[in-house]
Amino acid sequence: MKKSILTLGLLYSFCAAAQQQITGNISIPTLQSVSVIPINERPVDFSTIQDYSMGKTIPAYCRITVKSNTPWRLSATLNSGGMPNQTNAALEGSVSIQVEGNPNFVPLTNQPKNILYSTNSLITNEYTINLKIDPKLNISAEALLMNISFMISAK
Amino acid sequence: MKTAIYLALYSCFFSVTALAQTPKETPTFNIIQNQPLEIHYENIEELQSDKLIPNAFSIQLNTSPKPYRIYCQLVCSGAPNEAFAQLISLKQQTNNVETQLSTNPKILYTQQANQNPTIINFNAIIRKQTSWFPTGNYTFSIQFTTIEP
Repeated sequence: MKKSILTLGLLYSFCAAAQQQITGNISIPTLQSVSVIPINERPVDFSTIQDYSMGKTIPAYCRITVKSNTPWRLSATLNSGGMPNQTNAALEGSVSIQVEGNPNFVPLTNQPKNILYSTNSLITNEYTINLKIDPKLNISAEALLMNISFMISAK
Repeated sequence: MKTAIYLALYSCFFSVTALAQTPKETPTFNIIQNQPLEIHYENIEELQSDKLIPNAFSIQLNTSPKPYRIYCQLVCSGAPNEAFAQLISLKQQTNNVETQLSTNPKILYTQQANQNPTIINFNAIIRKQTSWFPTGNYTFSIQFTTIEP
């Protein structure tokens, strides 16, 4: 008992301090966005038989900026002009895109196709997209409109 | 013999406690929270720019015969603590001196000896992010401490 009293007395003499605090809260939900800037958007003419048989590639068709604070994947969908989820059958499989630096073109349909995944932990990443239209003589002579939609989601 | 030892210990005890209590006084200060430290991000662009909470809190400092320092320290559960601490910094409104929070005590302000009572206002800044930070809802506290000079 006496030893305890002595110990408490010593503690009191060395630990005199004042302390106060404030509290706060930070909420960080999953946040994502994707934006597309056309670079080389223009009508694509098929004026020769070689255009039809070989197809045409438009390099640097657009630039995509992906922003996300979690792992993500990006998908693309091909639609007829102004008609979501509808595609001119002639375009199915004829339109493909390539992320610059990747070896393969990904053929697009009216169903979402994954074209990119996060490969680093940066919030912002930018990609240049090449476009290829390869009708292989399956498209009749007419003007066709198309939209390509990009959608980001958490991986 | 035992009685002599106890008497010696008692005399030491009383002299130590008496020394501790006589001239020294813990410098007192008071924290006034002026704004709620509540941050909610609505879009990704908000994460990519600093968020300012102006006049977040004030420190009322009393006069002391000796200089004393106010230390600040972040305490947070459920987050990668040091990384979370680095998101928050405190800036004096008058001279823009900025203190990056840490999970270890850091000097926030030094009150000079015999200085008149002062009120120092601080802004809180939540730093922009360039890389992923674990998503979630984080409650934190900023502890302010001073010790006898």
